[in-house]
Amino acid sequence: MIDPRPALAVLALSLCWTSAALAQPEPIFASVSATLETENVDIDPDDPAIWVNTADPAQSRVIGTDKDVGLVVFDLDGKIVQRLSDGRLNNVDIRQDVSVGNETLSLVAASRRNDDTIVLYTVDATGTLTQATPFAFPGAPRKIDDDIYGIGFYHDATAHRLFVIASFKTGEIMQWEVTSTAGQLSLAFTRELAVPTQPEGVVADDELGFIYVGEEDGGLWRFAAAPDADTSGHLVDKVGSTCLPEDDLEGLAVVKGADNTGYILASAQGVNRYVLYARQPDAEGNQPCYGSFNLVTGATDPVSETDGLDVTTTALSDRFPTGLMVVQDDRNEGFNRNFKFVSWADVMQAMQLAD
Amino acid sequence: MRLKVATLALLLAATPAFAQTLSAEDQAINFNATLGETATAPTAWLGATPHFVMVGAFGDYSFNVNLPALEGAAAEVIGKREYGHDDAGALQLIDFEVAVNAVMNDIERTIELEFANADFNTHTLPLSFALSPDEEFPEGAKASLEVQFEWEWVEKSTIVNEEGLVDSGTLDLALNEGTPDAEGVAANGLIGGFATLTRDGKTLALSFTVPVTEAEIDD
Repeated sequence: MIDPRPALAVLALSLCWTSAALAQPEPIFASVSATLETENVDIDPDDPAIWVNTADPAQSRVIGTDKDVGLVVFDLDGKIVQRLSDGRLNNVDIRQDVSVGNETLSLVAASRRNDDTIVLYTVDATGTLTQATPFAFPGAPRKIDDDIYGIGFYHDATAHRLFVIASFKTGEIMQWEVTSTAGQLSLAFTRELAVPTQPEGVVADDELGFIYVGEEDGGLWRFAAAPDADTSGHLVDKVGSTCLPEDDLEGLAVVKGADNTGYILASAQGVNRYVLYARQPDAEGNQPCYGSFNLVTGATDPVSETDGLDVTTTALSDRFPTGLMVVQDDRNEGFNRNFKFVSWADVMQAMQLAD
Repeated sequence: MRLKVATLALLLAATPAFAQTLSAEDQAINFNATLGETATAPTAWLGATPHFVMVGAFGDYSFNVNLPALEGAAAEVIGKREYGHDDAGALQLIDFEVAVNAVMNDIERTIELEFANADFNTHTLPLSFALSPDEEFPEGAKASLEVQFEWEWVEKSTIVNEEGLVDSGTLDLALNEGTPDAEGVAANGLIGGFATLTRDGKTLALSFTVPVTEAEIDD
C-alpha cells in the first residue's frame, strides 16, 4: 500500500498557501468609459474640483484649472459657464458650507505659480465664483526655491477650523489656517510638512483627519492633519508597486462612503490609470490597494496622461446617480485638451465596489 | 513543459496585469509613424527653408516623417525657446524645443525634441554639439536631447507616451535667429540644424528649420 502521508502533507501545505494568498485579495484591474467630456479649454487643464448644488444637484458645477489662464467653470453638460483669468493656477480645491469660527463659508482655493500665492474665491448659491477679499496670500512664510504646485483644504468640523495646505515643487508643504472676520479672510501659518521629492496632489480626509500628498516619483504619503500633530508621514504606497508601477503620482481625491468607509483615489500618470486605496487604515496603519482602472474609448475618447481629479459620491442627476468623477484629459481630437466626466456608478460596477 | 511554465511565469511577472494588447496588424500601425513621401535619413542640414525631416527609430517606434517644406504642410511644426537666469541674473537660452503635431497613419501624433545647453546664445554658429545624457544643461559644445512622443489611438483605446534622453549623437546647430524683446526673450525667428542620435543601439536622424512661436523664462 502506498503511504498517503507525504501527499497529504503537500495538500495541507498547499491549502495553507492558498489561505494566505486569499487573505490579501489580488488587486482588481478594470476599464471604464467616460460619460461625457467638457468643452476644450484654452491651454492646459490640470485639476478639477466639484461644487455640489445642494438645492438642485443637477445644477452642480465643476471648477477646473487651465494652467496658463486661470479657472474655468463647467455645468454638468460640460459647457463653460464662467471663466476667471487670474493667472497660472495649477491646482484647485473646494470646501462648501463649512463652519469657520462663527461663519459658514464656501471657498475655492487655487495655487498660483506666477507669484507662488494661494488665491481664494467665494462660491455663491448658484456656484458662481468671486475673488475673495483679500484674493491672494503668500503660499509660504519664506522664499521657496521653486514653484507652488498642489493645494488642498482640510476642515475640522468639530473645532470649526479650516486649513489650506500648499505643496511646493521642492517637497516643502505649508499648512495655513483660514479665518474670516465679517467677510475678510486671513491666513495664519501653522506648520510645515515635507516629502523627499516633488509633490503635487494634496487632499485631506476631513472626517478621518488625514492629509494625503502625492510625491510624483515617490509615492502616496499620509500625514495627521491636526495642526499640532506629528509631522512625520506614512508612505501608503510607493512608485514601483503593483498598483503604482510607474511615476508620476498625480491627482488625489477622497471617495466618501457611508460611515467613513470609502477609498483614496490616486492618478497614476505613467500608466494612464486611477488607483483605489482603502480609506480606513488597518490596525498596522496600512491602506491596501484595491485595484485600478483606466478610462477607455466609449462615449468619449480615452483619457491619457491622467492628472488632476475629483470625486463626489452625492447623487447629482440621472447620468450621475451615485456621484461624479472628473478627470483631466491630456489629448483630445484636434490636439485639444479638456476634462472628462465619469459616472461613479460605472466605476463602482467595473471595480465591484460596494454601495 | 516545466520550462514553458517558468517562462510564462516570468512573462506574467514582467507584464502589468492591465497591459494593452494589439494585433500584429495594429502594432504595425501603432509602432510606425509616417508622414509624407518616404524619405531616406538625412545626412546633413537641409537648409534654411522651414522643413522637418526625421527618419529612424527610437525605442520600439519607427519614424519616417518627411516635410520638406512647412508652408502648406499637413502638420503644425513649431519651435519654442526657454530661458533661465545664471547666478548673476543674466538671461541664458538653456533650452529649445521642436514640436510636431500631425496625423500620421490616421493617428494624431505629437513628437517633441528638447535640446538643452548652458546657453545656446553664447555660441557662434554653425557649431557641432556632442549629445550626451550626462548633464542637464552642459557647458560648451555639448547638449542633452530628450525625445518625447505621444498619441492616442482612439479606436483601439491605445495610448502611447514615450520619452527619454538620447545616449549619444551630434547636433549641428546651424541657425538660431530672432529679435529679442526688452527682456532679451525672442519668441520669433527660426531655429535650425541637423542631428543624429542613438538610444539603446537604435539611430534617428533629423534635419529641421522651424519657426519659433513661443518663448518663456523658467524662474
